Amino acid sequence: MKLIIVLLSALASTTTIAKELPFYFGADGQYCKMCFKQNYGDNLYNKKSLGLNPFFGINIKDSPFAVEVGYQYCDSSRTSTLTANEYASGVQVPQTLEPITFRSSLKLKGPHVSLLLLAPRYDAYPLQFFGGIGISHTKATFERATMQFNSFVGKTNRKMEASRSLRRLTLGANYFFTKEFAIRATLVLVNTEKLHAFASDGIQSHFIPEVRPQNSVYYGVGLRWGF
Amino acid sequence: MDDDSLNISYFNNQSLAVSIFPEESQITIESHLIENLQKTQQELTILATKSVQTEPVFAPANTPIEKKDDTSFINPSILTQYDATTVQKVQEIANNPASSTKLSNEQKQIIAQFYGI
Repeated sequence: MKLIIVLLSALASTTTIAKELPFYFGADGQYCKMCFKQNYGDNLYNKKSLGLNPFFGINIKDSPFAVEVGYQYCDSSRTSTLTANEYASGVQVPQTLEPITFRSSLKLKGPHVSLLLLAPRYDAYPLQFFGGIGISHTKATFERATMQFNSFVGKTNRKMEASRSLRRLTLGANYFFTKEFAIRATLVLVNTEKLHAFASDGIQSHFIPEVRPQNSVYYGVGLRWGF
Repeated sequence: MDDDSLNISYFNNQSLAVSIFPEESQITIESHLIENLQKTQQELTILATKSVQTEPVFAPANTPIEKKDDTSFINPSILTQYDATTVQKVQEIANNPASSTKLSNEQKQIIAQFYGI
């Protein structure tokens, strides 16, 4: 115990807490992973997509907190062929129409704001961990174009949309090369399970296509400038 | 025979159907028809109607009233009819592999729209 105290005292004597600049901005490149509930998009939409998250932050003076706002965007597309007894957005494919080829795409976008707790950063140790909780207003658009069914060329393009405010949990780390410049890695969890999307295209049909995503994880790597 | 005479129809050489025109109409039965009636010794059912009938009264018993695989109801009206019977009939046709050859291209596209595809 005495040894630990001595080591900590020695460390404190050789390091000083770095002072945070009041503002910062940057952008994260993201790898987004969003799965879907069975029969409600799992066989149509790509679980993995690429995204971008530009952000701007304010370090609250004399406190370990920061407020960060940003805009989340990610999209992906996928081509898939379904046969009878499989489900396309919650609707079972009938035998007289199989096989059906769809081109499906998804977009997630919307602003977010988070309150971050920053761990102390020392001049001698440029790594800084942070975490926080926030809210994002996300609009999800799921499009599904029928490329071909049975032996016909499809011409229908269905659009399912949902817009909700979602919880956002952020974990990350900054690595400072200079006082101003850092790279950062982030892990963001968003409860996109709430984005239950129904067809909003006005096309008349007996069965209404719907998409039910599950919660999402965004893995990000970005650049950060302080000023 | 002229139009006001007895009208006899044969079905499968086994039974007869007879209709008689209004009472005021004159009934004439030709002799060879009477002989045929005696040979067959079958019971005749006589129906009197007030109006003149141009079609046989009885249809053969084995003639179906409506074909089970009739797909004529697959038309744009099914997109606005949501009663359970219509929905069930459309699903039966759509999921019957034999229907594929009976449906026209337009009907297949209507079914696709019905399914939201």
